[in-house]
Amino acid sequence: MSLIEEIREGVIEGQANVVLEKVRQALEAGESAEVILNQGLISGMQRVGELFEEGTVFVPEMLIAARAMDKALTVLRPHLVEAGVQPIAKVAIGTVKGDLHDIGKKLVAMMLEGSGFEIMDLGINVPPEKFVDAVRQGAQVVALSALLTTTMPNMKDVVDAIDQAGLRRQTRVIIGGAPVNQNYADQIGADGFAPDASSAVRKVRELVGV
Amino acid sequence: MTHYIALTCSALARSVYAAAAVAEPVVSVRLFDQGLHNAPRSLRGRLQAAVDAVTPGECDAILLAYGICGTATIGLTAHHTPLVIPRAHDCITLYLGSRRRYQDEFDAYPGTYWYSQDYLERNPSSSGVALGAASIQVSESIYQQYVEKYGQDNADYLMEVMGEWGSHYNRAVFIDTGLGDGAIYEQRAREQAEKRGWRYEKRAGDRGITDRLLSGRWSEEEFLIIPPGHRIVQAVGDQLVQAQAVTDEPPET
Repeated sequence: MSLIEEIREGVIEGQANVVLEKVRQALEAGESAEVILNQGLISGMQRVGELFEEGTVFVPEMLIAARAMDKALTVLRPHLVEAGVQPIAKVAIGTVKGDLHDIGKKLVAMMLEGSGFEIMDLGINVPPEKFVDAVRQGAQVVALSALLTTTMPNMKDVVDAIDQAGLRRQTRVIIGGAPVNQNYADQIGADGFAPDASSAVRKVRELVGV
Repeated sequence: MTHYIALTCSALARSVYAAAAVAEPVVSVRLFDQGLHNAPRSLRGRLQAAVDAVTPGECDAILLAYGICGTATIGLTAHHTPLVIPRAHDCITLYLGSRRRYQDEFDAYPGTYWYSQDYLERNPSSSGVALGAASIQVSESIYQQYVEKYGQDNADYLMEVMGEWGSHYNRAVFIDTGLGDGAIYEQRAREQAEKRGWRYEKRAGDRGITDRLLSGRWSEEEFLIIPPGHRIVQAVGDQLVQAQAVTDEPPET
């Protein structure tokens, strides 16, 4: 198995330390950071995403795989910058006001970052105006998370606030979380919905046209 | 005589039985374990199976003593007998008596862990089941499984990430429905709050919604009636749910 394949396998298995070590070895061996990223980390994470969608693996496996990727990125990032690899787009992400549950948001943020997006993590319980500020600071995508039906209406408040600030045309809004669906996204005027973390990455890519 | 069948979460068992005892209609109560909202699809399947098991003419309406409960009740379909469900996010609305009151409590303290006698007496401390819709506690036995499956390092990470919600919670509320002697359970809630460093409060419950559900006093404001051939869907706005005619379209969940 090549080092790249070992990195890919390590991500799938969620072995952060193995992945970290293999990424270092690959860099020392002269492998390009972009190849390590795309064929190792992202490819591995995509596989985990597929397994999740098939129902073969669950949230814990997704989390440890994303963590492995995230750790490896800390080593890889300076090399990516050096090689002139630019972020695809800037994504502001957070759980909406009232929602304190951030496992899903964390996972999506890690996966987006691994897929080449720049992440502005606004955290949990984020009021609409903070999302608006993020758009002013250049967020091309706003990703909203809610676990509770109680806080779902606050997603609409964010869409409305961005609209009222006159910024709706320069950003795309994607929503996710256990109780939301495409129908709800349509009703509140969001641009997209994703039922899980790997489809969130696909959807965000689609929204920014890559 | 009017006859209802009430499909009831165990978390509301006392309130529902108390209402059934004094309601004019005859109400047959069918209990489902609390905490099933952790797997909304599975709970939905069980509730729909219970609805489907009712034969035509067996009762005048099937009552759902539930809220949206993490979308567990979304998609439930009435075939020959109407369904009735309170417009509520989850059982906390039914405990507090109105969704306005729940919303006010929620707005003041989004990080509230709710307790009641029904919940505590049916809930072993290791179960990881919470009252209301949020429930992502990770128990010690799950931690051991993580260690075996993913190794110590990953298990510690998972505990940290999956248990982090607790650090954002800051209040425990014990709801006293006025039924049964809840003193020891109130004490247990107080101890939990102390252990986790949360402020502790007690609220008087209001069983009005449950009473009105079981006695057939269904205002449009407070309840949704799902006629035969319709299913429950979520609605934007304060009404929370609405009935949608069943067509060939798949349910939206």
